Amino acid sequence: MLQPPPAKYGGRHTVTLIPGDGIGPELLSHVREVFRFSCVPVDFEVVNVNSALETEDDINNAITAIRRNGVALKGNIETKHTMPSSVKSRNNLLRTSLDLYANVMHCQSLPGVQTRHKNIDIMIIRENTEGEYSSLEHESVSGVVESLKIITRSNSLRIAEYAFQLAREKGRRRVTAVHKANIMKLGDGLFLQCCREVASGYPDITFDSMIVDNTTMQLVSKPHQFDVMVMPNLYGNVVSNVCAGLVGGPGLVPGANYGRDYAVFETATRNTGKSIAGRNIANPTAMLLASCMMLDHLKLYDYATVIRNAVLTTMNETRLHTADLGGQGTTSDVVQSIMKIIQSKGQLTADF
Amino acid sequence: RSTAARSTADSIMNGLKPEPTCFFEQMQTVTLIPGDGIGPEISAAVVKIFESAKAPIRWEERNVTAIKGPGGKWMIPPDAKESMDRSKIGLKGPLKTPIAAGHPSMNLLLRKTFDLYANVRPCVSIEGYKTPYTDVDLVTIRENTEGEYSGIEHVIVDGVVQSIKLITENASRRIAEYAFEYARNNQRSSVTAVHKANIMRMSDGLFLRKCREVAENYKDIKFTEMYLDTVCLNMVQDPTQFDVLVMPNLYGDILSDLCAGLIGGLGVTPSGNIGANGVAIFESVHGTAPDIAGLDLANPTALLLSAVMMLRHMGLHEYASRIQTACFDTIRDKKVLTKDLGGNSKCSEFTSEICHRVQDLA
Repeated sequence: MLQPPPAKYGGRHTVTLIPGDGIGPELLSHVREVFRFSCVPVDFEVVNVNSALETEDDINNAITAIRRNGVALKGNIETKHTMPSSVKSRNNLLRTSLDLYANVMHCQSLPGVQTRHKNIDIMIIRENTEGEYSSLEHESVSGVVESLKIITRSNSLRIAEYAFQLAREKGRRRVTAVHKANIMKLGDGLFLQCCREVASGYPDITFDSMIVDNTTMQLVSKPHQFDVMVMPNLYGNVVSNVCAGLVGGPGLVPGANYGRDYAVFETATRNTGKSIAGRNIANPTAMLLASCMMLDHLKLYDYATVIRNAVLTTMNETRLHTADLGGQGTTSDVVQSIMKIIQSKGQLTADF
Repeated sequence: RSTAARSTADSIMNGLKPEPTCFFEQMQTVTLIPGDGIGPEISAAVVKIFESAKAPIRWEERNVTAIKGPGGKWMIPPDAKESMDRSKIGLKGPLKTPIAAGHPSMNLLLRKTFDLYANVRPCVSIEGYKTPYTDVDLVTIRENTEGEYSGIEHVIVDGVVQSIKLITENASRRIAEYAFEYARNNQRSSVTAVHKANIMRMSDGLFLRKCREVAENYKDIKFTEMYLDTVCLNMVQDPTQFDVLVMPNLYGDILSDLCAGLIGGLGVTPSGNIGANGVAIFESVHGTAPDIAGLDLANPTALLLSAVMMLRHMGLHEYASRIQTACFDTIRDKKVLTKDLGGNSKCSEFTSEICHRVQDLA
């Protein structure tokens, strides 16, 4: 699995921070606040990406910074479709340039959150670089647009291998491949075949497959049948959003993008949250949990555990729930509560 | 074939005049395709219920098993095509998927033959059939001819496959127009276009542009746009915020099944396919259930609700409401329910119960 970069300069790590748009900047500033308070040995190199510009200089700077540091924490960069179609999604460019081929999302029901289904625990592994997100489109004849979905054997094998390795590592029993191979016989057929090949090397793990439309139907009625799921890019988008909705919404679930050499952490559903930006009502949980995933990746396990426990304990306080959970708490209330809990653990902390 | 279906269909075929129901309402012909597996018995159930409701429908039963036409091309039997072209309205039960039969799926053939470009699925929570989601009342309208299901795939080099998603101006405009017309005709207040134009800038961008253009002609209907992932996220948290959704093929496939899952599954979900030239085929979208075929255990609700959709499409709203109410009341009372709905009554008992209620509601 991916090795984190070693700590430099007296045991401190440098992490690239991309604030992004919408709620990104405010959530990430709260992460920095919590890290500072908890004396986490991480320094952030902030790289801003202006989504209003057509040139790719900003995103290229960000990519270079991530290559340098090896790890990043980011908010979502808005994609304005008023721009010409040659201006590609910045987030997508980042993922493909750094070959962050595995998007991992662990959907778990949180005890303090009311949802229709309880005790959900699903890991979603989504191929993150190809499929429908290849950004290869052309207008062959006026009024007729072709968009290419690319599936390759090597990427499919790679993501399947990642899924089974992770399943084994975490002691999970079953991997389900999600596909639409009855219609896309060659493309999804290849993906499915690769999953089967990899599965044969893991006899201790059960492998099955399910068609994507049936999968969504099953998720909303019987989500407990799922354990680990692996799928191509677009279905991953759909399934991860459905699962995030099932456990309580976009404010709760962290996501990670892993490549061979780099790791980038963000919220799982990658929302910009323009309509709630700057109003102190966004839920900081997802971003804070993502930052804990990052700390785990940097092998700073103790710090990760302390912050994560504080976040989850705060989640139990219904009166602190933010608007997305049906409450009236503010972002700062939640963050203050988290920091109080961290302080009460008796760890060495900075002045309040 | 069961006796009920045979008697009505055969009596017409044998030249016997069907009993006149109402002097003011003309009998309208509907092509009935019972299908395979449980298809015949649920079709018979629907025919029986319509009889009790005295609906002015004359059923013409047809089989659509593919045959090889002149030139070696697979096609649906000519008498089926002729009937549909004449009646313009069809009701179809589940068709079995052919494996190694050499011909493409019948559903695909039907779609191509009649240019069934819009798949419409109203998803309404059924009182009495509890799911974690209540108060769902939305309609998914899916473009059904192009998009990701163009079937165009190539192996570029060994190990690299390319699937082509096709989006055209005409198909996008056509589906958008249908969506807004549907909204207007069914008193729906908003239409939401579902897309991923942030990633698929040109293709979904084109689809979105056409929706926006058509929206200009329907200022009375609110038009919004939403990313596919945001729709999924919000749908499972609060489905009541959605009204009419219009989208390209693949997203429609996924979302319509997602919504069916919210209200209880394919066994209770109606579906309609609208074609060019005024043709419309309404169908149940569940499977043929070969394990219970012929055992009088099937649940005819999905086909019945599709038939109700058909009545509304034909303007026969009063009959539609009566039959739907009878069906929902039966389910709500929980006294006579088929196994999949949680009871242990037979299909015929469930059907009779609805028939009685329909007559009482007259």
